[in-house]
Amino acid sequence: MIQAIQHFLNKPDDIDGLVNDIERQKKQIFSAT
Amino acid sequence: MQKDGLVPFAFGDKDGWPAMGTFDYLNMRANGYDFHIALLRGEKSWNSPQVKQVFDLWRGLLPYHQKGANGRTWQEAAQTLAQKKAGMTVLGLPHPGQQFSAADREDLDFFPFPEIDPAHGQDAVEAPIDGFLMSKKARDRDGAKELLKFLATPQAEDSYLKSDPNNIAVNSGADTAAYTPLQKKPSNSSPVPGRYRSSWTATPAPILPRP
Repeated sequence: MIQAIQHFLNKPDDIDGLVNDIERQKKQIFSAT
Repeated sequence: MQKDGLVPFAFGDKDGWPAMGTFDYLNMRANGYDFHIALLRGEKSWNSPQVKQVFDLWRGLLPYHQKGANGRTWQEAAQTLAQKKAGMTVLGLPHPGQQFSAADREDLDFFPFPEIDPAHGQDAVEAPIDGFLMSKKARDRDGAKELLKFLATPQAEDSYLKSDPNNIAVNSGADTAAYTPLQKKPSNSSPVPGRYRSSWTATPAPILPRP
């Protein structure tokens, strides 16, 4: 998530891509635990 | 601030956590503490309209931040505050406080993160908690426990604060009479009890030699 936020700081216009990326990461993390 | 030649927000995210803390605040203020905690627990979707709204709000604020935040540490950002190149920053009091000389510290102010949605006000804080932990394999468990008990006493906190005027005591019995005006401000702006979004930094207590 840190990398996703840092990418957002550089390129803040793709919010849909950002939140979809984080949601995808979240599902991977929760499915692994 | 911009008319005065200041960048409104000093911002350094080379270490990753300052922006995470900023998101914590924006989301708690815009969507409320309960939503934020549910999001972090995986119970809410990151691609929900509420979260998109937060990033859209943040995007609107970025032009008022220092550019190139990913290449700047929080220390470097705080230094620009001390150098009067920036007007504000989102950090805990100790962070910029360490960068200020005693004389300049009188020019440093502190205020809670502003309200976004009146329904949620300012009743939650993102508050890192630094502390001491005992190693599971401590050789002298009883001695380490005694040390930990002592570190939580008003006496120990009073002693520590004499060398660090950028923090406040968490023990309600600590002596606050010598607090600076700056230390009094966070002391008087306590959130609703229990509404902490905490990040944790663990410092293991030393393994004490056997007696």
